[in-house]
Parts: sequence; C-alpha cells; structure tokens
Amino acid sequence: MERLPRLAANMGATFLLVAASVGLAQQPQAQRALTIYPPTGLPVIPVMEGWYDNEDGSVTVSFGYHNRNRESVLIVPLGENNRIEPAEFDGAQPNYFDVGRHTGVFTITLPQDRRDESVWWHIKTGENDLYKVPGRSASEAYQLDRRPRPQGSVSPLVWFDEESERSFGPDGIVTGPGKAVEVGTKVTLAVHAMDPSIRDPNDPRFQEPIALRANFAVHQGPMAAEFVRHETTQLPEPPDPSKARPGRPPPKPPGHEEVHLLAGEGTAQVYATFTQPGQYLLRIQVDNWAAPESSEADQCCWTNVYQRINVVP
Amino acid sequence: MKLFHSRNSSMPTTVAVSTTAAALIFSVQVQAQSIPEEEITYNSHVAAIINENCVVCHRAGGIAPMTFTSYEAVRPWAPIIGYRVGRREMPPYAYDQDIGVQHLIGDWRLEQQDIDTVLAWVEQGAPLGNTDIIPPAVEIPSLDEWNFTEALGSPDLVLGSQPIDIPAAGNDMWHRPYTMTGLNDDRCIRAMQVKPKGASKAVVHHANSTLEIPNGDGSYERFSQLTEYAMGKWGEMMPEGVCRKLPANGRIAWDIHMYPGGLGAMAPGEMIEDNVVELGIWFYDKGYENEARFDQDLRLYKLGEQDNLIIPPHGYEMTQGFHSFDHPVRVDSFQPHGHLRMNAASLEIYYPETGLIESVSQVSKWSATWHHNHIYEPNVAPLVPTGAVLVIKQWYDNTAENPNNPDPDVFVMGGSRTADEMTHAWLAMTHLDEEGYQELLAERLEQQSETVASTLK
Repeated sequence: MERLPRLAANMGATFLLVAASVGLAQQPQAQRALTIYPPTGLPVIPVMEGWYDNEDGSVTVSFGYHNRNRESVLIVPLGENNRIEPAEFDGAQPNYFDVGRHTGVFTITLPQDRRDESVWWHIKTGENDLYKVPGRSASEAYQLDRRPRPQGSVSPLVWFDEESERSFGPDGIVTGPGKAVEVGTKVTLAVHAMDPSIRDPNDPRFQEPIALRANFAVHQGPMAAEFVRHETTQLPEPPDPSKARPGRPPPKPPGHEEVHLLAGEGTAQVYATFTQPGQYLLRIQVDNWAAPESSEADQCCWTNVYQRINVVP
Repeated sequence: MKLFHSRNSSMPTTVAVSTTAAALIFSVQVQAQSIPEEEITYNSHVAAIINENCVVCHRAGGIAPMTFTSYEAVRPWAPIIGYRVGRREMPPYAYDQDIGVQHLIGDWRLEQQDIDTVLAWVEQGAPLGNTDIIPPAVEIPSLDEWNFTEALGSPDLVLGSQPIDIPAAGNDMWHRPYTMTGLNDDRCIRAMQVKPKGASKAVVHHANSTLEIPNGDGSYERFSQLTEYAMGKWGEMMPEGVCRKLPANGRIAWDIHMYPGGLGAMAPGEMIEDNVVELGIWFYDKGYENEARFDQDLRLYKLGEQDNLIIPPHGYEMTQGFHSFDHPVRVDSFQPHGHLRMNAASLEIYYPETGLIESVSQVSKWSATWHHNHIYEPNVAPLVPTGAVLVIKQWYDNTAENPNNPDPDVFVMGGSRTADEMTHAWLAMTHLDEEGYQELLAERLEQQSETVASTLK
C-alpha cells in the first residue's frame, strides 16, 4: 500500500466566458441559454481547490480540473504539457480528463519546512494556451479542513481489503498493481466504504441512511476503460426529469461507473475492460453528497483511493 | 444611522424624466456643490453628520475598527475620513449617483452638502470650534437592536436557528437546520431582518430562509423563499398594498453559510461559540391579507449558469441574465450577489417593442462586505410591462487591483465558498395584473404632471 506522490500543482492567456441566460420568470418558464461553446477544442482548466493545515505542520493542497468540452475526453500525457513544478512534486496529476468539473481529484503535500512554497500545475491542451495554477497555503480563503460539517457529515472511510489502510479525505491511498490484466479481459474492481458521520437521529432527514456514491474513473492511462455494472450493484434511481435545470438538457442517468451504496456502507463493485495495454491508475471517489451539508461545491465530503493496473497485450 | 431615509428627500431640485410608456420614472438630482465659506468646525457642523451617519458602527463594540464618538477620537482620522467620504466609500452604501432610480429606502449615502461640509472641515484643519457649542447627543442603539425597532417597534415574531460553534479557521460551513414558525394564521409580512448575533456578524456570509408547509402526510414541501441575508444587509420592507405571505403552520429551512475566521474589519479570528442567526418579522395587521391586492415575492434571478463561471488568473469576467414575465410587475428591490471577485452590478430594462434600454440601478463599487438590498420607494419603483426584459449584469475582477482578492493567480470557479464565485441577484417583485399596472401607471403620470407643474411655478 502506498500513497500517491505527496507532492503537489498563472496563466498566460485571457479566457473569456460569456455566461448568459434568458428566463421568462414567475413560472420560471423555459430558460434559453445563450452561451455558445464549441463541443470540442476547449482547454482543461487546472483548479486549486484549497489547502489543509495538517497536524504535523505540513500542508496538503487539493487540485481538481474542469474540462470545458461537452463531448471530448482529453488525454494529456504527463510531461511538458502536463507537469507540476518543482519537478519532485510531479506525477500525481491525472492525464485523463473526463468532461466537466471534477473536484479534488488529487493532492500534493508540502512538508513542514516547505509549507510556504507554491507548487504549480501546468496544462496545455491542443492548440490552447498553457494554463497554470499554484497550489499554496497563502490565503485563508482557500483553507479546508476535515472537521465534521454542521449536520455531522465527514468524508467516508474507504479501503480495498481488510488488511489495507482506511483512506479518509481527498489524499487517498494507492493499491496495486496486482496480477497483470490482458487487453479485453473483464476485471472486477471493488472498494469497501462506510460513512462515519454522526448525525442527529431526531432529524427527519436522517431517519434513513445517507447513500454513498462511488465513482470509478481513469486517473492516468493510455486510453479510456469501459466500466460495466456488476451484478451485485443495485441500479441507481434515474434522475427526476422535473428537476432538470433550466436551459440544460435533462440529467443523464448514472453511468455504469457510478455505484450507489444506499445503506451508507458496503462494497462498490464494477467490471472494467481495457482496450489498450499500458499502466493505468484508476481513481475511485466515494462521497456522501446526498447529505444536506455535503457537496462538491462545498468542498466536502469525499474520499479518493487509487488502484494501479498493469494491462498487457 | 438614518432609518427609512429617503435620499435627497429634501433636495430642492428634482426633475422627473418621462420614459418609455412612462413605465419607469427616474429622478435626476442636481447636486448642490456648495462650498461653505464660513469656518467649519466639529462642534457646529461635523459632529452632527458623524453622529447621525457614522457612530452606529464607529463606537465601542461596533463593527468598525475605530470609534468616532468624540472630537478626540475623530480628529486623528480626519484626513482619512475626508478621503473616504469624498470618494463616497463611507458610509458604506455603494450605489451610483445620477444613474437610474435614486429614491431608495434605507439609503446610507450622504447628501452632497454634508460631504462638502466634511471636506471643507478637513481642508480647514479639522478644528474643534467653539467649546460652548454642544454637539447633538449621540443616540447609540444597542448593538443587538433590530434595525426597524425605531419605526416599527419590536418584531412580532423572532425565529432563531440552532446554535453552532464556528471555528477560528478552516473550510466554509453550511448549517441547514429547521425552525418551526409557530404561526397559527396566515399573515402578510411588513418587514424582515436577519441578524447574526454578536460576533457572528463577521462569519455569517449568508443566511437564506425557505418557507416550507405541511403537505398532509407528515412531510413538508417548499412554499416560497422567505428572505435572504448576506453580510451587511439591512433588511427587507414590503410596500403597502402587497402581501408577502407567511402561511400558518410552516417551518423555516435555513441555509446558513459561515466563513470561519471572518471577513472584514470585525473578523474575530477566534472560535465563536453558540452562533445563532435570528430572523425578526414584523407583520401587517390581521385582516390586511384580505385587503392586499397583489402578491410580492423574493426570488433568485440567475445570470447564466454558475457552473460555467470561470474567471481567469489576473483577468476579468462579466455575466448577464435576462428575465421577462407573462404579466406586469413592479420591481421593489434589487440586491446583486457575488463574492470576493465581484466588483460591480447593474439592473436595466429592455423594451422589445421600441428597442430602448433603461438603467434602473448601477453599483460600480460593489463589495462583498456590504450586500445592500436597494429598496425602491414605492412611487418610483420600476413598473415593468408584460414582455419587457430585466437585464442584470455583474462584473468580476480577479486581478491584484481588487483589494478583496485572496489570490489573483488562481482560476476562480463558480461555487458556494467565499473564495469561489456566484452570479445571481435577489429581486423582490410585486406581481401585477394589467388593470393594476395601468392604475399605477396613471398614478405615476399624474405625479409626474404635478412635479412638472410645481417646477414651472
């Protein structure tokens, strides 16, 4: 068992967003988005989510990203166009960028004697400009913590097997690689999770367990993986179309890479198949964002774990 | 602090300008740029201005970092007072002069004459003046006093959130408890104020309250937005003739956003125990709900999708939202909302039939530390015909020139935290029908005629 390199991540060009919406209010009838984005060709935005002040004096910086393309997953190999400086902190960042906003996908820890330094994550996608963002503890506005939220939510505990360390929070444990997997072979992935949050039993919102959600994704690898629902996995409830956001297409049903643990604990399993050989690092992110004071936008509460897989021809 | 102050209500020169379909009447003030020639002293001139406008915050235990309760306390700060008053940065009510509607309720801006007096006093060396002249006594309300007490008395209903400890540092927190209203009858609300208690003022970023009512099976369903609070907000007032309804047997679902460590001059930097946010409600008399002709509500109006908001390092951003209605409305108040990078906002009305655009409000020096709810006086509150479009714009500055910016090197994303950004505005709206709209329009035209006739005399 290991941890990802506990290392950490200005930008040179302007970036324009024209955000506009039209609404016919009162009965907020159909809003029509005027925003015009091409479906492909847009950059990946590196995001510093914030920093944790650790008890040992070190600082852990959390990073995420936003792939602004609506249709194209991007793969940006680690190297000149996807690097972290200083170089000794390089290597923890993803090279596989799914579409949309992905919060807190990796962390870098600066030791106590370097806690005031900045690490910079640089990304250049296609013909777009090079973007970079600093990870640092300079501003209290970006300070994060692992304390319980007001209604009791904390990050879930996640582990691979009974002998393995429990992961808690974004700076997750890494397992593998185990036995090599052949291209085209279906492999079972499994993580165990439980929600240690202590909530008010008299609050009607907590009469039933808060479901955990596990999301399996490629973090690093030469190509996408195909995830298929495991037979032990309960099919998540399809999204309520009446809750579609104005101006947006109806929410898609959860993909096979998403597993819901309705009891607030259990084992999340999926099948994965790889079409290209190489070294893969999968990221499994488990959250309790169904709780009233836990959400991606609130920077709480989720846990990352990572699994290395060696795929051979 | 002047309560229910209507800006320039005593100004001698007011010109009412007719607008498209007379739907909106703007007032353009001709400012008195009088420079006093006499000696301006603290005792004779300035103390009254400071006592009335500044001491409510600049006093022992107040939210301002220094006290202004005596000449000795004020005098060392005279140059800075002159600088900030002259730039209209103090009192902290950012709202552009001479653009759009100027007659506001709860307006803290100084009269130009008072600004000129303060500037002349500083220019003359900030003298004390005749010691035989006793400045008007300072009437300092309790720090826990409700803003509307002087005008309306104590609140008819006070609802508190569950207490919670707020740490000195760390991640933003969202507290989402419930509070039963205990109200047995439907009532119409006259005024509301949300008040974080004690030191919590600096750490409560916002406190939204949604009203939920029982749906018969033991659970509750959303009825309406009750009110909204953000740091520095004064309160809400509902004009006569409309009903902002608080139904019986409801409960409040709080959404209280706290920012450990605090924001602004009074940030405590220490743990705050048992933080409670209180909501004070003043009602119209019983039976009023049968007389009120139109409903009023408060809603969040988006400026695009927050998820799409990305502000580049050392860059700028502008968002805009367009909202129209299938019936006429009156805009009763306008409150832009953003966080540390937002620095300006405006509200306009676009008339598709003519292609004309009118400015309603502009705030060129917006700050997250003072979320003012600009309440239009009812007789000038914009009347919006069916199909006209409200155009809301907000601007963001992620450069080092923005004094509130915690880190200009990062991409700022749409999100809930204080360090992230939001893009919406809160508007209180009276929902009219065509008949009611025409009646109000006729009243405005009559009022306009009287004003013109008065000016010509």
